[in-house]
Amino acid sequence: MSAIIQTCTNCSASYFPARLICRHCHGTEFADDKADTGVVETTTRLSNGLQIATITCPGDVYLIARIIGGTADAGDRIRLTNDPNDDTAVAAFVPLHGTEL
Amino acid sequence: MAVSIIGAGESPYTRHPQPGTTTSRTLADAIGRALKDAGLTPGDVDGFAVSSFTLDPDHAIDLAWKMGFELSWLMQDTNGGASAGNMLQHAVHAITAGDASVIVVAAGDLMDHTAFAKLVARYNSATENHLSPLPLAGPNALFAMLTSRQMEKFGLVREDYGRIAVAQRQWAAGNPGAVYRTPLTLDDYLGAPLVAEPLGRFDCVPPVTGADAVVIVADERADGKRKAKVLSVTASYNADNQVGDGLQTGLRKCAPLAWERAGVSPEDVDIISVYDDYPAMVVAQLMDIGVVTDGADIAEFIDTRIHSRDLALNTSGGQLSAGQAGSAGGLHGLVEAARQLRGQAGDRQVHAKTAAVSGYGMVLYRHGSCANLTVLEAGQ
Ligand SMILES: [Zn+2]
Repeated sequence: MSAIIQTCTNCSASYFPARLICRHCHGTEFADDKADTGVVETTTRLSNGLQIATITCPGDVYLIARIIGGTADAGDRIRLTNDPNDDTAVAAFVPLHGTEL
Repeated sequence: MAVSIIGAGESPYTRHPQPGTTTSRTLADAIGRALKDAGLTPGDVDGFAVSSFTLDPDHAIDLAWKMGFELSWLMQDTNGGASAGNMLQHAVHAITAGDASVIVVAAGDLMDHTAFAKLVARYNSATENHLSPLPLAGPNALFAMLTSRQMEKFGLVREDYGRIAVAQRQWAAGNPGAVYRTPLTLDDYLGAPLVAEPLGRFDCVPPVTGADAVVIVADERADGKRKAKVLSVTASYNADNQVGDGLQTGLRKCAPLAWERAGVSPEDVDIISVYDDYPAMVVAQLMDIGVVTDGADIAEFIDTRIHSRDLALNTSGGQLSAGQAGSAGGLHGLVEAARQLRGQAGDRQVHAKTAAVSGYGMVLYRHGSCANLTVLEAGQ
């Protein structure tokens, strides 16, 4: 269960959340791509105990995620998932991008 | 044609609105105060701009109708913390073009617990689809991570941000309209419960119910009145496509032109209102508008200029102490600047001939996307 990133079918630029027009080539055709891992850039711990993180993926993609199944530190390579219950091992939960824009 | 603010008003901010309080009545209260301050009546108004998150299902025209405004110019703004600068930018041009001669610019919200929860859960589709399901309720976690990045990049520590909060609370002591006025010590700041590490309670604005309004006219209508002349307003939208660290705001792009048009330099401006949703954003915006120069020792600037209150910064107490009345957050700083320039700031009055007011807002996914800078000058 990976994170789902939007990819421009013309120039392969990556986006999250999904965009309407590719800002690199101005194309309007996109496909969904799976991203299996990312790198933890920054984390914070909320008063309710949840750990929230910024995850980077290639192509200037920044994801806001909740760390599940353990804890994460900046610099860690981490597994990405769109399933909040996929917590048998540490992972970054990234809610699926919607098809509606 | 020169355009000036000749009236400012604020509906008293409150953490716990009385039963029966509505967004419309709160806005009308602020507008009534601003018109009274300007020595005008609703019958004089021919232009109206409003921003509110909680006006639904009504719109600007419903408010105009219910207040009896008969208008030749009307707008509604959706830019949150940047709404004031945006409305002012449009209003200046409307007056200059002759589309209106007396414009009321207003913003406000009924921001009780229910309204706040509803607003942050469905702030935009990106939030609704990708942040609320985490779950995340509001932007604290996002600005906590931004603050961490700023601390790392510039070698700042929590005490540095605390000194900003402490100074603003000292200013708030002179503002009867601020919801928090009792002195805050650095120990209080550091000892407060963490909301989202490294942010503690005093890094986060208290949501309040309230509204702000200003009255803007062509200069020839302002003869003999104390006024805050609008020297320039510039704006930037979607400056970074939400890519990058968020440590630079759109002000980096639009501020140089605002200073140039105004003929005022950042080191000479007498009072500054920056959009203080978090202390880290105060730092970011002071850098972006050139008040803190690139490469400067930021911690020292905070200590010697802000903490000492040598710099007249957020003299109302800012949103951190006065409260954040939803979309009025950006207008609050403009009302304060107008009051200071017009000599109406009571116990917190400073000697000020020029003022700068920044707006910043609309977190699309990771940080704010809208920014603007207004430069004002006192006049008679
Ligand atoms: Zn493309």
